[in-house]
Amino acid sequence: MIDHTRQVTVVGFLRGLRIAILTVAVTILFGLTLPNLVARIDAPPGPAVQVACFLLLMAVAAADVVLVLRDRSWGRLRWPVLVLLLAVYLGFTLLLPADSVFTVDNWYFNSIGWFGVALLFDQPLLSFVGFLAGCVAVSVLPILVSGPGNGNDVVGLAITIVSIGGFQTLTATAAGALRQVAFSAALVSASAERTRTRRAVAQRVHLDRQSRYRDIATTAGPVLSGLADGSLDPGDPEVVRKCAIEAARMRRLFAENKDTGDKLSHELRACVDIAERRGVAVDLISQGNWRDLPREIRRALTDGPMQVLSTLSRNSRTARVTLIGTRDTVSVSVLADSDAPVPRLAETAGVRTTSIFDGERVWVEATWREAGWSQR
Amino acid sequence: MAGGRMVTAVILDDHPAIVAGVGAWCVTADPPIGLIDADGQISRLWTEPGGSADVVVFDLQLGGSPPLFRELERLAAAGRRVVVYSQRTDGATARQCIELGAFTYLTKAEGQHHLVPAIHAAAQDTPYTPPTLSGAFYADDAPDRPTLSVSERETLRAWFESDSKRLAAGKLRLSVKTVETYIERVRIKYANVGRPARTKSALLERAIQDGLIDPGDLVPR
Repeated sequence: MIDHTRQVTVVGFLRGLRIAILTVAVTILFGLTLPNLVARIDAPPGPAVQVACFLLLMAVAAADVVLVLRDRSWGRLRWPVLVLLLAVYLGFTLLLPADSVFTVDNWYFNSIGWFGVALLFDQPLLSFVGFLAGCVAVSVLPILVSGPGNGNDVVGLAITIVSIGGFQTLTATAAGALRQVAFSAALVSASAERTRTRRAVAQRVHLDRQSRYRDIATTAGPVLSGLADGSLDPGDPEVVRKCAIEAARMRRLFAENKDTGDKLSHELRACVDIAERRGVAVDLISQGNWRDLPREIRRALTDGPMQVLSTLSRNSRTARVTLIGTRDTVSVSVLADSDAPVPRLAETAGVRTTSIFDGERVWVEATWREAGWSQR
Repeated sequence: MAGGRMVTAVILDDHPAIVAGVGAWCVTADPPIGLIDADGQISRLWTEPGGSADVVVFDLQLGGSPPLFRELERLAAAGRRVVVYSQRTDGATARQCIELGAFTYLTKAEGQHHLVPAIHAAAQDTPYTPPTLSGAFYADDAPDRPTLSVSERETLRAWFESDSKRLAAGKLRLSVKTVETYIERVRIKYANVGRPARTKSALLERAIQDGLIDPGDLVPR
């Protein structure tokens, strides 16, 4: 997530920067170079070479447009392209008369630097300085070859380096600074995001704990405080029954917070576990499929069965627990040896609970039907 | 077919303890059932003495092998009455076995109460639907499932949940006989949509004789 945030922020920052550099390069290419080229098309190194060089720069500019639009860097491809630009420039200057190298005839030099900035936007400043030094060296080459003509050459060289190279270097430096800012911004943003997530999780956990506490405070609280202050007799069968139900409720509450695929089965299993601890052989059988039901419905479905399973008498030997579901109906049923009927349960959350007692066995069935349900 | 003489069954199961247990139930059954052990080998279901047994008690999975659906289909196609006796409890497997022509489907957990009655019922070509199969019919959500009435569905569920026709009848305020009729009728409906097999025709024939269904109700698929 951090890497993702960093990437998004950095790309956002650098995209603007790249568009700016590209705009400068293209403006110079078409606004400055093209009129010069058209006006002096016959000047050395000749129309064919001039047009070919212009088309090369246009092609590189077009490729950069595509990359900027796709938020992609030049990557390793930049190096051969830079070498190509330099090599072409070398040919261009060698075809120029030595005294034209620092005149308007050498339009190639005016543009090439900006392409260096564009191609090296995400590289250390040193790479651009190196490229620029290469361009200057190529410019100086004809003078070295044919010897210094006059003082104008040296003056021209100095002016060109300061006016063109200086400006380009400045831009490249600014790009580097902006890149640093973008990275820091990405780090800060990722850190803020982490803090936000941590806070949201902590809040959620706190709310969950409060809600769980509320759930048992009203029912388990009085039983526990009654046992503590002696107002409830642990030997009283009714108190024992209440304790068993509360223990089952807590067990189900813990089961509710497990992140399992089938929550209803999982919670029902927690209820079955209670009966098995009391030595009752429980058959748990399920059939069909059911969707992920909300907690209120799951509770209403397991409430009746839970009461039966947690209060089975010592004489109970077996219990049959079933869970059956279709798209719109889910039923939980418990049939167990019992010597007492189960209190009636009110209909809640769309769940109807029925109970039958035939003197030996008690059968409790809780059925949820989707609102608007109709028989198939 | 089995009238007058002892009902015989051949059992295919790879667990000797299961075979011994089923053998004990068969000896004490009323009337007793003659059980032949196929010794975990499918071929012995086809060769004597297993080949002429009235009923085949068929474990769907031997060892770690995949379910033997093709073997089941071949047995059903040859007119054998197959009681599938499996540890698999999922509804899809149970329904597939019925579709392939099994006489009935029993889970191992149901064996003690339902295997002997199921063998007797199979020998007489009367339907037998144990609770798990009943639940599998109730929970069937296949598009081509047979159409069941509200009472039939409620009865299937009550029988699945209680494993007691008396309790199911009490809950639904029906007679035990009516509960039995509803469950049998569902089994006939499934036989009617299943593959053509002797099991199917025998069940349908018997159901018409008993007045359980009207021949006009049988709409071929």
